Amino acid sequence: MNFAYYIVIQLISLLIGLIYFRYIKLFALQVMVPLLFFVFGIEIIATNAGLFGFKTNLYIYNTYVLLSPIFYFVLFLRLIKFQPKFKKIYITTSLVFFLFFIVDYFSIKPSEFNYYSLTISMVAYIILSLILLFQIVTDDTRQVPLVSEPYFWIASGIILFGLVSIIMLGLHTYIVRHQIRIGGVAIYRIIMPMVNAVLYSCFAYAFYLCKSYFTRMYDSEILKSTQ
Amino acid sequence: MFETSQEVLTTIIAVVLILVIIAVFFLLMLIYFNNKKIQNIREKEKLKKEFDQALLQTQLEVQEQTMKQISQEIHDNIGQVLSLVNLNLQTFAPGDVEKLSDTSILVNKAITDLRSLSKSLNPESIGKKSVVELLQEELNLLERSGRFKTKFEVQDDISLPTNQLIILYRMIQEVLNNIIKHSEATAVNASIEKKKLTISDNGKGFLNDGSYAGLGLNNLRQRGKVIGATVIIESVADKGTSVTFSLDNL
Repeated sequence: MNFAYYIVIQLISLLIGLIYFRYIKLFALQVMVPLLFFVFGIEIIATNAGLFGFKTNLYIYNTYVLLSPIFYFVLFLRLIKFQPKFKKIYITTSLVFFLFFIVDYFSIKPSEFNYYSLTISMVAYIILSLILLFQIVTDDTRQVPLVSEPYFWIASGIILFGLVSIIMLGLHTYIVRHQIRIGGVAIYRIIMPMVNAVLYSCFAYAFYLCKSYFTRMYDSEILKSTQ
Repeated sequence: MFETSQEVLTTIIAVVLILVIIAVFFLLMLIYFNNKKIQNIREKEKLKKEFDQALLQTQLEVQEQTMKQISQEIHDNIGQVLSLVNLNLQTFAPGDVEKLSDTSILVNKAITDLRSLSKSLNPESIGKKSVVELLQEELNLLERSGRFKTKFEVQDDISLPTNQLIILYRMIQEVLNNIIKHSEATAVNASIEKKKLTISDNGKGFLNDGSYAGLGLNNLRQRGKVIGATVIIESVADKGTSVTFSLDNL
């Protein structure tokens, strides 16, 4: 079985999420644990596709592109303070996007990558992350440095990951067809693990901050009452 | 468009790097902006705390000053009047209408003075008055002491929120106390013109050599800073002192 370094970081992030679950729950981040389970499962199967009886891992990644937006849309729904009107618009738009992803998923060939869905979802994540950052920075009741703010690391990781993956995976077919390689390895196989490592390191650090943020803010009595 | 895959590779890497650099720069700017925001909020809270402390201290001092004035008023005025009433009553002979009338006038005066004192005991009374009224009352007290001739020129009144008014009132009291205690003056002039309140005397003045440290002038400037007023103190030996409160920033 092949364990790439970024999968190890994903696993570490998942474990930290599980260990600090009671703290991340208080920051409405609990949906990240099933997301990380899902991502870790997908990566294990995709990087060892042959072992699991798959001829190509594109089908597995296409499944990731189809299902991962559910977790992210729920995550942003919980993190961003929407006005009731905008909340309805957000839910409706998310459902429309999801319908499109389903159509895209079933309309492409198994040998193709559904980069339309990926591009749309990445653009949506980046916009939502920017909205989240805007809310954090303009909220005068928050008097915590941004680097100590869990949401900042989650939004930053998603923005960096989204920007790079739009280019890398958007150009996936072109890169494969024209054999754009560094040292014999397709460029996306080098850059994507790096940004994956950055993203899941950001998540892991955000989980750790949930714990330290909480212990700074509240005394142990409040913590006991929420258990 | 591209000659070789090498050119495509270079372009892709360049675009990725540029995007990452822009994103990192943007995030760093956010961190900087957020830190500035936190710093501003903390400074505001600190200033508010300082203002509240100064206000509390000022209220206590105003209260203390009021008590002193009441004590003096009872001793010098109402006490004297009631003593006269007592004397009149002891020497009263039936049918002495003139003495009865005098006694009645004295009792009425005592009642009026007591009402005036009662009003000054009300802590909200300062907030209900204007700067002109408060300064006029203080100058009246000086005039009544018989030691000073006073003059008050008003071009326009100054409108202030109650908390700032209390602090300004206390500053006025401090200046007048200095005149009473240290100036050896015989005349006190006050004026209000274009958000500038000036109190001057014709006393002995003082030298700007630091020997006036005990006069509480630093305290005066500090209070001025708390309410956003500038305090200008000018003094010439044997000619007098002038204190101006510039309230342009209020």
